[in-house]
Amino acid sequence: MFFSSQLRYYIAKRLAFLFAYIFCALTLVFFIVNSMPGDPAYSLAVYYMQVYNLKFEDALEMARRALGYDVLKPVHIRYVEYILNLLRGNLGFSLFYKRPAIDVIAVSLPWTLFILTLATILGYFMGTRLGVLAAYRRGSKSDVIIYAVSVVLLSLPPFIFAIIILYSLGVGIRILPIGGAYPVWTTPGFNFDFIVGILWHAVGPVVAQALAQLAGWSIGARNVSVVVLAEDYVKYGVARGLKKSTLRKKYVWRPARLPILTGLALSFGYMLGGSTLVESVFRYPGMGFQLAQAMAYRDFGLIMAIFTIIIFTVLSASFIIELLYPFLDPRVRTE
Amino acid sequence: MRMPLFLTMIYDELIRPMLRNRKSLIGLSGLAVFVLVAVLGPCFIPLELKTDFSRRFLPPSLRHPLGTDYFGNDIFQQIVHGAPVTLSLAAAIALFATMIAAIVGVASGYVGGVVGRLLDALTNLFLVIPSFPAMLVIFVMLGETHWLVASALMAIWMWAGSARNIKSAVYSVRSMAFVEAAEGLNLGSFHIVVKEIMPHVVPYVFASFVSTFRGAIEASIGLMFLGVLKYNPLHWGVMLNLAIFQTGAIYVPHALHYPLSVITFVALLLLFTTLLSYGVEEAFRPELRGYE
Repeated sequence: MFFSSQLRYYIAKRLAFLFAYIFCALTLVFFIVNSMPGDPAYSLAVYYMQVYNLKFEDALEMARRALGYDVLKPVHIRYVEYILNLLRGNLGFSLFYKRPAIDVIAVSLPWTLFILTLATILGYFMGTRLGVLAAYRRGSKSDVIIYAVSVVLLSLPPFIFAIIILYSLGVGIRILPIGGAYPVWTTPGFNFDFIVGILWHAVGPVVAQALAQLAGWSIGARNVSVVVLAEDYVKYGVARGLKKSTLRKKYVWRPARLPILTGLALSFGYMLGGSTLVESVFRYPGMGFQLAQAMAYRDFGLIMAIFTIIIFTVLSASFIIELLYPFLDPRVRTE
Repeated sequence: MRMPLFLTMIYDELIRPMLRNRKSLIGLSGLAVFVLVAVLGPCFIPLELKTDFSRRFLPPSLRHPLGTDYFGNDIFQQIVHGAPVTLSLAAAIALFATMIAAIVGVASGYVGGVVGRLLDALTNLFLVIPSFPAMLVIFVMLGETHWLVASALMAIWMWAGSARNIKSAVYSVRSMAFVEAAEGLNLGSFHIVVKEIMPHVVPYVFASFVSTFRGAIEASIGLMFLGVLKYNPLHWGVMLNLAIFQTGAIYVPHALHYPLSVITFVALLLLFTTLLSYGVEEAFRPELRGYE
């Protein structure tokens, strides 16, 4: 049933959309970035002037050489080169690390995905449970409390939580580490100390990312469930005397989770965007921290490469979520 | 006769629902205090920036209500003088973004056809590109700019969600009988959009403005916090950057008041704007109301 021809058509269509979106997004960003009046070489030259104590003309010449940036080359030629390089898997070169940018990303991306996956799972499951609970007790004291706490949590961006967690639990009572991804005294590998160390270091970033998500899901799930609960078929189910758990799982949550699922992809993108800030606060060696470092060193090759990977990751995440649709919504299966 | 009618409509459909909703009332009052401080504060409270390391990290006292920072300057003065910088930047971003969103939303909702589908595709595209990294990349490439240029560049990444909401509002108004009547009377699309559809979409445009304003505060503080965008050292994001990254105040036990006071003001501002944003949305969509 699941791999019918309709489903294969659906997956093929989504895959085509994925590539079209990635292509369009990268094209759009390339042209917006390249139409900026500022010259990255200029900015890099100022940096070189300070670091190597050069005259401005020399620093500018050095920056142009370093960037491989040819002013005389028109934008559309550079665009074609960029796309061709991408198709060959060449994301550019990191000036700071003196290595292909893809090597730098390959080390840092797993850390970010680890944090975001944990935070998404934690935030989604706890948040939606709370939201459905609040919707059931609409108007009661627990609804008011869940809603009020959610609004307060939602109003703060993850990096504020990160600062608060680092400050209180890391610097204050010292039960959490204040930086890094694992304790320096452990040997990376499959051993107990290392794995516990990783989890211990992940607590701060994960909780910081998950808190706002949790609140968002709780409010979202509540609002959707309130609408579903008012439907006639739910009242009919109540009148038939169905068990509460059956009612919740099969009658309320089944249709309510669909619009929520759409938000999952957007929230993943939001978290990935915010990970630059959260990881910088915890000095967690993920891609966001790498991006912040690359900006400090004016490593333009690495910056563009990380941004390309971010777009790729966000769109792939939304593609994976779209693949879940046919399993959760029979209407998509038979369309 | 026309203006008063328009004003009563604004009052009935925009201001009264906002004042009657508890959340938006709290948010609006809190935000009003911030705006008041931003407008009047700098007139009454002088700003003295003089580096004096002997006064570093002084605890809160009568002379320094929030203590002093790394350079020995009064934190409260900086927060008061930073408020107009922070609020005006966010307001400019929200204004630009809502303008783009209204134009795209109304155009794609009313015109439809190939143009509408193209605008939809563009909206969806901007919706999936993560806005914060995009802003980071642009500002790193661009270097220093005028704050209005910066806000326009940030607005480019913040309009898509609003455009989608405005579009669906336009879409639902378009199919109503009075619009059909206006079309039947051949009143012209300019008249229909401006005089018939827009008045009913204004609340949604306003709601978009409020929620973008909130997002703009978060994004601008985030950018300044990372040190990517620096046009004014008084912006609260720059203060946060100094407190956390630059001066290491976070690791100095007796400097607790410094990061804490900046974070508190940032958090309060975000809390009030979020409450306002949620309240406004509820005021216009009564089915979301939980308790009143």
